[in-house]
Amino acid sequence: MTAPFEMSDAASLGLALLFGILFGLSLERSGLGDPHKLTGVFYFQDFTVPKVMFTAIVVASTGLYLLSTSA
Amino acid sequence: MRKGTYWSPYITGTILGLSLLASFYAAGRGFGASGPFSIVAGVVTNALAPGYTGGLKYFSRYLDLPHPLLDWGLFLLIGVFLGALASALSSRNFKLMFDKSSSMSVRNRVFTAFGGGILIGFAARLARGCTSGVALTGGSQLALAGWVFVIAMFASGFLFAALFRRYWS
Repeated sequence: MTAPFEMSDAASLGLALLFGILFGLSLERSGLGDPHKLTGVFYFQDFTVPKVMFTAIVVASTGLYLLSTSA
Repeated sequence: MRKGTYWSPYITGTILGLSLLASFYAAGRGFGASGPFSIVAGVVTNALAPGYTGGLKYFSRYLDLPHPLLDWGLFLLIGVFLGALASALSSRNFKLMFDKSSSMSVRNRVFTAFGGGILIGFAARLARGCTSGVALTGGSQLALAGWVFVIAMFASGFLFAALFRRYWS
């Protein structure tokens, strides 16, 4: 996949930092800094990991589909 | 934000999915977390043993670049740290602690965490990515590898979680 914008290396790394901050914020606000939440799914006690992961996958893949049909 | 509480996983999952989508669109890249560890490991071992590390095919593709540390994935990972730190501090969820089950000794926790970390690092590079790079980024592009990874990860997770249950409960 190629980006639709031409940008400098510095701008690209700045974007990486910005998306990383959003990624870190999403994970921390989900509670995924807690190892008990990560192991909890395998003991049928806490389903945070699959809920966050599959919500993100559905949102991103739906968005990708819409972008690919509108382009 | 209330202390010690998390947001709904559907809200955070939507924020994560929209961030990933924006990254695909604006940068042409998805999210990954294991590659930067290879780069940093390559740069550090290259400083200690230049001739040997530079001769390894695996590391040379990073080390042959003019600035191996000016890497998109490494900056993403630095952002993850900053974002998670800001989020934990602003929600007053920040705490320095040694997290383990009460039944587990500190020595065992250090040993198992270190061993598990080595396995994760090795397996993620073997699979050319981790839960972020292969399952999340690959899965959302409906890449076959992404879904094979998701199925294998949960299957082996259930198996080994059952075997190691006594360490965690």
